[in-house]
Amino acid sequence: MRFFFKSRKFKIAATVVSVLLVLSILAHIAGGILSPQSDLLGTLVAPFQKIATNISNSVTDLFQKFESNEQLILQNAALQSEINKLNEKIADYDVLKNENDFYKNYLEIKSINPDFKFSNAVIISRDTTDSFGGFTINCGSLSGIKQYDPVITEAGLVGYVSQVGLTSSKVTTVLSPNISVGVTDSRTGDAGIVTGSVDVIANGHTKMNNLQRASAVAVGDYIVTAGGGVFPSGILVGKITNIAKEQYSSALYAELEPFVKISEIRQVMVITDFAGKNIINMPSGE
Amino acid sequence: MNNKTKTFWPATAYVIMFIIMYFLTYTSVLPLKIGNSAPMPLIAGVVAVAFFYGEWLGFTAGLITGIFADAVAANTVCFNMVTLMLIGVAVGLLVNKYLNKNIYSALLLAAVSAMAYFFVHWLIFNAASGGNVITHFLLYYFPSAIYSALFIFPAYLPGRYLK
Repeated sequence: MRFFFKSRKFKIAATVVSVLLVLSILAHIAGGILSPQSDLLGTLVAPFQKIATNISNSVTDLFQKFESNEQLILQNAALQSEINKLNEKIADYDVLKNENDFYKNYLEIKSINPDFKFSNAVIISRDTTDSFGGFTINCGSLSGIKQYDPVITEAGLVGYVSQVGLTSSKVTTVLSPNISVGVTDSRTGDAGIVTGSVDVIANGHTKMNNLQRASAVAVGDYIVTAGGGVFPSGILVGKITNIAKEQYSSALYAELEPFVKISEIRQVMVITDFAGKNIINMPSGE
Repeated sequence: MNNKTKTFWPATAYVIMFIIMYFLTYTSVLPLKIGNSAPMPLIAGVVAVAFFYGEWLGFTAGLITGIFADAVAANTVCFNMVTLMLIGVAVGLLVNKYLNKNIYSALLLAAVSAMAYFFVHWLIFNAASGGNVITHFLLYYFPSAIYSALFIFPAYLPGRYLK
């Protein structure tokens, strides 16, 4: 083992690794930029990931159709092959319909918030080792995306862009402990901060912290972004499913069920600009 | 069979295996997640390469695989690059000095490597996040490590039978 550490190969390898480490750390310190090596390889593999994701989505659609029509398919076994062909056609139709719905919703959000500037993105990979649902989208700085840009769907807030590459970006979701979103209860106006927690992640939920004991929030209330700084105001975040006392303080927290099913989304919208952007502060989790 | 032919087939098999493992891990082509456990098959791939071909190829496999993984993983900066590279080097050195080359050693190394990977991942990215992090480790990370180690069986075959 001594020879290993004294060998010329080891010195070369140590130099290469040191350079890569320095590049990675510098990129991270510089503020949410992907390291050059990750950016380069990410750009190279992105088209293949998109193809793989498209295949995966088509297969999922087909399986879902088979599951929901299982009884019918059993009763019509003789027509199996014809149904398969029709299902393939329906899957193609659904893809087009989903795209159509997506753009319709996009236009609705755009008409309600004329100050929003969007960049549409497709999810190209999900990090399975990240239990908080982090994913990568197919748009980067070339599409005008910057770090901390909010990510939404027509259903509500997804998260924010945490790292930006040239052609891809990484998104931190509302389920992550690294996010801090200023929010209010749409009914009572009580303010709080949404941050993910390992305590509620098993249900796919997130937490609204810093609620005053005297607050009037109740189960079933809708929570929306407070606005200012990173996130525009009025974007739906989630619905309160439970209210409890913090373990080490007298404050309360609410468990939220996000309106966006993070594990099921395929397309998102990145808000690249809006009125009042960056006026207050950045998320404290970063 | 000359040396080039001897190395061509295992190398091809491992490259294909890494590509498949990569896409299985980071896209939903074939969801590998079972319950709470989400495996990282690339660990077993790196362990297998280091197991059969030594610390230098283990180092190279870990480094390249890690950079590819960091390109798409959530906020890992260079975590995958460093850990997979260290796993490759450590497994290569251990096999050369202390262990026999059989499936039991490979399984042991894959299990220890996967446990080390997920433990360090949890320590860096979750342990400080507050809440019941120990339960989170036991519910998510521990089963994921066990599940990841099982990928040593397919990863072991090319090195064992194509050598």
